[in-house]
Amino acid sequence: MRLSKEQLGGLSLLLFSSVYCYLTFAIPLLPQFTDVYNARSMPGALGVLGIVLSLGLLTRRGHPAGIERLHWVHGLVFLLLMSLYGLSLRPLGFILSTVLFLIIGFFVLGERRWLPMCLVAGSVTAGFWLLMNFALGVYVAPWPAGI
Amino acid sequence: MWEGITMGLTTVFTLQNAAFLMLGCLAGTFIGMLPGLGPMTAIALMIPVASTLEPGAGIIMMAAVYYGAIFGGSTSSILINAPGVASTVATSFDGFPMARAGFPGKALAIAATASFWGGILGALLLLIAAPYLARISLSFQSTDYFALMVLGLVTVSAFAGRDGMLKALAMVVLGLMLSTVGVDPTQGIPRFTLGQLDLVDGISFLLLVMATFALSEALLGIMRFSREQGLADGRALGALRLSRREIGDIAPAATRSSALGFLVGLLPGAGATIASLLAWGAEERLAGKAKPAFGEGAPRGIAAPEAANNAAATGSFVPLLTLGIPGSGTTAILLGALIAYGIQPGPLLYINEPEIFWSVIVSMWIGNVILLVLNLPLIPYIARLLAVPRQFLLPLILFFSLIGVYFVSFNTFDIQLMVIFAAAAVGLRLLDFPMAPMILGFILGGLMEENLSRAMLIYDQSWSFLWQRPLTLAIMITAMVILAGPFLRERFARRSPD
Repeated sequence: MRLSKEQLGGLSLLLFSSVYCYLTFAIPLLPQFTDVYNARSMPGALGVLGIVLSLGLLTRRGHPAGIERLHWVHGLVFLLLMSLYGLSLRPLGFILSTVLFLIIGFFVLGERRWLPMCLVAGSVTAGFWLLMNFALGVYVAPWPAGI
Repeated sequence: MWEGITMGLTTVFTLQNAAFLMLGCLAGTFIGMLPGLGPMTAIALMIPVASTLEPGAGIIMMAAVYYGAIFGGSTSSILINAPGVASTVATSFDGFPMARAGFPGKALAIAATASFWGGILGALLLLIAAPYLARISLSFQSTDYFALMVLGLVTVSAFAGRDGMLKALAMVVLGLMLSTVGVDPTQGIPRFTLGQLDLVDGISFLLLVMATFALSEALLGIMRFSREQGLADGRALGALRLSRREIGDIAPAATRSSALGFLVGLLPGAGATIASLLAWGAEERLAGKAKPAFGEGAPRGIAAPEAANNAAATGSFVPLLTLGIPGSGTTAILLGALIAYGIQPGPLLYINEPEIFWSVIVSMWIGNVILLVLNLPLIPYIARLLAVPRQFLLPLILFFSLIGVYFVSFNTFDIQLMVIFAAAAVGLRLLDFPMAPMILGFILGGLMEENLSRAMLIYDQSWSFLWQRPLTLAIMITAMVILAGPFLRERFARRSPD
């Protein structure tokens, strides 16, 4: 059986809402706090509402979700690249990590002319760093620690 | 009122504020022109810059980015039939045929002039409506605010139609759920932090907006990318001037559409998209069999949606400034930005910080003049952005989004969180789940819980405020009717013999 887009989304939201509901019970309550409305009230209501709406979506009949022709690998590579960029910002410094992120990004999307790649990556990175540092007074270390 | 206008003029006409107003208009036009990147992304991308400014300058700049992005969106609609935002889809119905017929410059000039007219009239109506509504809303209590927020969220979902309503409601609830991450407002207990200290303060709205709009849009662009696709070939735009006769032809349509757009903009959830489509439809009916026909490059077919979407954008500021309740995803982001500045929009903004209140209104006038006088002549140059190869543009958008958030928090954990949210947003968008209701739910979630807990405290931990206070009851009943509307309509439609 192929699921429709609504049902696929409903299933994902059902999973999320179920975990959310489970975690709601893990919220500690202060023993002396006896009010009707407490830290669990709103999350509890939202969790139940989330489950109800997800079930509503799951029961909807619709056309089976078509598979759009997409470059899934490109998407995954860029997710990984962004994550690595986040991890490298401190050890490599802003300039090196950003230039690498941009050049690899251009390369993944099929650009093979090294001169434009380096020029665009270098000028955008340097320009942005100068703008933030001197014009807006936001400092970020440009190079790895020790340089 | 004149005092307010003078105050607004004095605030806007400082060298710094005027410069940021111009920067906002240009940046908004620039970003809004890129297909897929609408006002929400434009504002989100500019928040890191705005956060380094004084509140007044920052808000003026972001408001300028907003209508600049709407103006920019119409440029890509006309030139390449790729609307930058949904609100300029209607512009492409006649704008692109006129451009294809050899008059792209004229089509852009009509769009800019009508946009200007819509913005000016919209700001005039805002000037009249906002202080009046602000005075009325002074009598509102926490219970009414809670009910108004419920109404806003329900209306946003209802505008998605019968088919999309359940999805939109699910996204609203998802946004509300995400807003509960962090320390709760009643007892100060951390919730859903999964043992991460970085989540104790909750999820930053900027992070969520950037991940779900800018990052996910760029990622979808990457996943649909083909090197053959070019956006523009850099053709000459032709004359950008309009004759008196042409102005006379579009003026009535632009005026009618401005009034319609402003009224639609006041409604939560309706916004610029519905306003522009309604205006185009209304003018098409009025035009009858006049030549050129609507859909074939009619000047009024460009003027009507452009005037309406700009007036609607202005109209959506009324509930934001006077009630502190955003009516659309874009104004929800603006609300988040205001809260980050420590400014709580609402009736007290009008009393406590009138210079911000009035400077936003006055900046809309000045901003629209800038859009017409400065941006229109620059359009041939700005449009060259459309010719930048996408293999360069897409990684650059990712970089600006990631670094925009990092430069506010200086926490690399935020980048990892963005990657997770962006991946989830791409999945949901591929399944046709809308992101704007989620952002609205997220922004309003904290305020809703705050007002609800205050109401419970006032009413001695009883839910009776829902029926004891007439205004709250009336708003809640309205919300229920709106919620049930699409389902009831379907039921009646089934019963009818046709």
